[in-house]
Amino acid sequence: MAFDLDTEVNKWAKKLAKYPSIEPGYVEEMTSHLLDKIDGLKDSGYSEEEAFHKASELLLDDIEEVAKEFRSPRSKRLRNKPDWNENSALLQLLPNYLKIALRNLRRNPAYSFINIFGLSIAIACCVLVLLFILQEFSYDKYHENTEDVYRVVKTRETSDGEYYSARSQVPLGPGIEEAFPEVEQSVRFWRSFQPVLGYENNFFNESKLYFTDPEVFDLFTFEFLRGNPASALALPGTIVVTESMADKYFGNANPIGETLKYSGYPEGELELTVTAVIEDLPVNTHLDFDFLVSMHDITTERENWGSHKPIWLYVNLTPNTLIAQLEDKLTEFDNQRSGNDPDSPFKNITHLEPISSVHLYSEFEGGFKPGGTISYVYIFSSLALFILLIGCVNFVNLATARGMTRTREVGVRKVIGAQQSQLVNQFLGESILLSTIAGIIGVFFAKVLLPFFNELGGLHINFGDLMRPTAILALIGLLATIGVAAGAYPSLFMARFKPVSVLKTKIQSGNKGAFLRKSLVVLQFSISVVLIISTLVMHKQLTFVQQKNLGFNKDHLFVVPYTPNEEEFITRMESRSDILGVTISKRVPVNDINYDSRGFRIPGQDVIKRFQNYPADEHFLPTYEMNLVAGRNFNPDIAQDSANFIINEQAAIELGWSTPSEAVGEILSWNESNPYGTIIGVVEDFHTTSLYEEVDPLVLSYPAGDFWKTFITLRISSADISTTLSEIEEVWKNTTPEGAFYNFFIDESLIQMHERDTKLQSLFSFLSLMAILISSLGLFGLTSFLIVKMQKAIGIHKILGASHLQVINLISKNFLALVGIGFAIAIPVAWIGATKWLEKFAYKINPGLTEIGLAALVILGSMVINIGIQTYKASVANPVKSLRSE
Amino acid sequence: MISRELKAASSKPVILSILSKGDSYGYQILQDILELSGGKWEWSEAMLYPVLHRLNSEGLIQSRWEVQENGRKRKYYGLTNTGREALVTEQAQWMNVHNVLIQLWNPNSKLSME
Repeated sequence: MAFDLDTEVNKWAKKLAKYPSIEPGYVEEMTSHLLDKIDGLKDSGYSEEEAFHKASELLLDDIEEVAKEFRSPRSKRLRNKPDWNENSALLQLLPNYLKIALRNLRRNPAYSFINIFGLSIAIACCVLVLLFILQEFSYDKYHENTEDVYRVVKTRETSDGEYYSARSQVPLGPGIEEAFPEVEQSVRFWRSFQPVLGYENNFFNESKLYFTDPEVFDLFTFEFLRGNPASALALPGTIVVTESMADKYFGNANPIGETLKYSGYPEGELELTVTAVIEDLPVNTHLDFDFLVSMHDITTERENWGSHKPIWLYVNLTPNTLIAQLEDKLTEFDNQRSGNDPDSPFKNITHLEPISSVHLYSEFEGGFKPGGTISYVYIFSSLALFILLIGCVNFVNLATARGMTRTREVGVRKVIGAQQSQLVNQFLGESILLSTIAGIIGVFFAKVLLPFFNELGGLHINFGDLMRPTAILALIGLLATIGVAAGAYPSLFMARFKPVSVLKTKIQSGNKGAFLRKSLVVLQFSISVVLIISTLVMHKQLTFVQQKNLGFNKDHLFVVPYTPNEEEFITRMESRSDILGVTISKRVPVNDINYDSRGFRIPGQDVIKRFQNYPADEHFLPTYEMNLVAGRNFNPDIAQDSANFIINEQAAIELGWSTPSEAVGEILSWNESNPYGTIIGVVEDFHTTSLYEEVDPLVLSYPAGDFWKTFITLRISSADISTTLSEIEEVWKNTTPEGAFYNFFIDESLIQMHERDTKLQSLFSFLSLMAILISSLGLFGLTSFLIVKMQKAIGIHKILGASHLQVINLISKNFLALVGIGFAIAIPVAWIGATKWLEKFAYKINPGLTEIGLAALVILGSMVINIGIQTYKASVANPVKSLRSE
Repeated sequence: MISRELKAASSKPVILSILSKGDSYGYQILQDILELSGGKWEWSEAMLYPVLHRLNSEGLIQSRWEVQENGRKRKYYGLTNTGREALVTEQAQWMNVHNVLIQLWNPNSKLSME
């Protein structure tokens, strides 16, 4: 571009004009000076361009100086720094900004309430979810050696697919510790089966008792209240108890040195000396036990490499061990010791899991307690984000809408000399102020809601966790982000008003920012619809699970432990009118306890089928009200029945019979060379485990002897249940003086099986409800604003003869379109999400039009009520009023 | 080179004196000073204009815009009556200072340290 002196001089003058001390007249004078100087330079032989650069360089270098000097004769208050260098304009204006901000809050209480309340609720939800996530990620990070401790787990391929298991053999731990230098220490936890502990004459059935190696206290960190970690389990016959168990058995007395009587599997009967008391385990560990017994005196299966027990194995590795390599070596070692066929197409692979990832990421079955899942973390984080988004959308919408009413303020500020950046700062500051107020209220809400949230989700979140530096930082970051994210657009929008037009009360065109506002409303609708549909689908599925026909009548089935004084107990039970049936079995339905699967075959055929083995007496089918579809029940008078079988329909199908009656009378054999038996009946399929799984083929047997007897199930009448229960317990205790009593209802254990999902659903519903609440609040605010703006239009319509209905229609029309678009976006999203979630259930509902319809009803309903009321108010108002006011 | 302080102190009498020879404008004043001092007084614009404006607001000088033949505007300054009186006072003061210094620097000065 060719050099143009006038342009360049203009540019130069503009630069000069930036300094507040230099008035326009001065600028003109300096410009004239510049031109003189250029002329002078040109006379001494410079070209025009060179002359300009040289002259302006000389002058511009000095501009700051010039400006300063100009300032001194003008300014009354002589300070060290000129105003434009002070950076304190914000500080000086802050009181004013604050005043204006508070005044605005007070002037529009409804808007302020919607904004602050909506945002507080959103922040409260976020805080709760944040606490949940922080806790989920804190699992097992507190152990001193947490980085080097791994759990040994295995995958096993079979013809049916891959099995994930955390179980291991008894000798595996010591074996790998000896064979691999990388393995510094190994610790096994062997879950005792149905242990009973007694102190003096008090016996309790315990569930969380583990045999373990003494190094357990090197691998994991526990708080010792009494006793010494180094020696606690060093000797055989020692036991460490948790604080609450110490209270349970010994009260306030010092338990150290006391003896507990143990009976259970493994080891049978033992006398154990209490050597230490540790604090109850914190929430954030995947470990879960009440008692640790020294593994030293384990004699059972010490060299059995073939049997996988409920033993969870942990190892402490030397730092910087290459995990993948060690896994290969362990796999080879384990396969060799276990005698697995190296040429088998099915692989057994050993894996190492860092203990800090067991809780969230492990897929391996078995272990101390059901873990969390990273997907819950994702689901709740996204929910929290959605809620926050909705809160921010409200904020943006209301702030831009309300900005229209503050045009005069902007105009006046600009005329007085505010720069756009100052206005942006002012409005951003206001939104940060609002988000901070909302944040404080939100944290308060979170505190109030926390117990409810914990109860609802079965969580143990601690509010104190919020006081940790990470949480505080996260919270401050969150508030700042909300403030800036929600304030950025409105403040830019408002700061751009042109003073001339706004001060002339030229009506601002309402279409400014309308597209954005509409898109945000659509977004809100979509999120709400997705949440409503998801909630409905979850609710429907979980209700379906609880109401599904299980193949038996699950109501009023009460389970107590087997008693060796079987005859006396059963006779006394059967004589009662409030007991409708009594049966003894090894397992009870919808429960994993004693799960046992065996190989069966039809004699003469090579095919071996794995069926669940389900020993039970002849009262089992009638008590559970199961249906025999062919054949007959067990009969104690027929001696042969102790070898005979009743199979379920699924087993009949697997064995190749097309109708149940074909199976009756056929011969079936245990794979392990046991005697043959006859299939005497076929029972309708009934669920034995959770509804995540399909009904397995199953074989009922009625063996002689007592070895299988574990549970007594009683069907009780529904009248006066509590008396019946307490009397059953009394009779049981009388007949079993040395036994430990427990009890449960079958239907409750079904509920427990799906407890995590039920809790998830409750939390999800709660958060969805919050989201919907916040978005309807926002919608309410927005419509009321729009209606105020449309008052004149409504007035004119009415004068021209429009009816109420037509006016309502006029306004709702806009929103209906937005709702429509929202639905169009939401339905596929909700569909994908719901289908994904339902995948894990073997028996599931088909989400359909009902859910969509209901969601539409909720959204439209709330919208119609909302808009209807406000529009009605506007339309009954006297048009004269709205048209006259200016 | 003349020190900044001295330049600042002498700016008022210098400007008033230059303007007493006739109306002038910023650029010209700077040129005059440069010439009179044999190139030793380098006044910057940053020094000149604020002083001009101050003198203007004190009523010692007055300014007017004049349009040149080439259409360019230029701001001219001229002495007011007050300005002329002020110049007389300034002259007296500066001559006083001048005399003192001259006597002091005379090797035959009567003043001695005795």
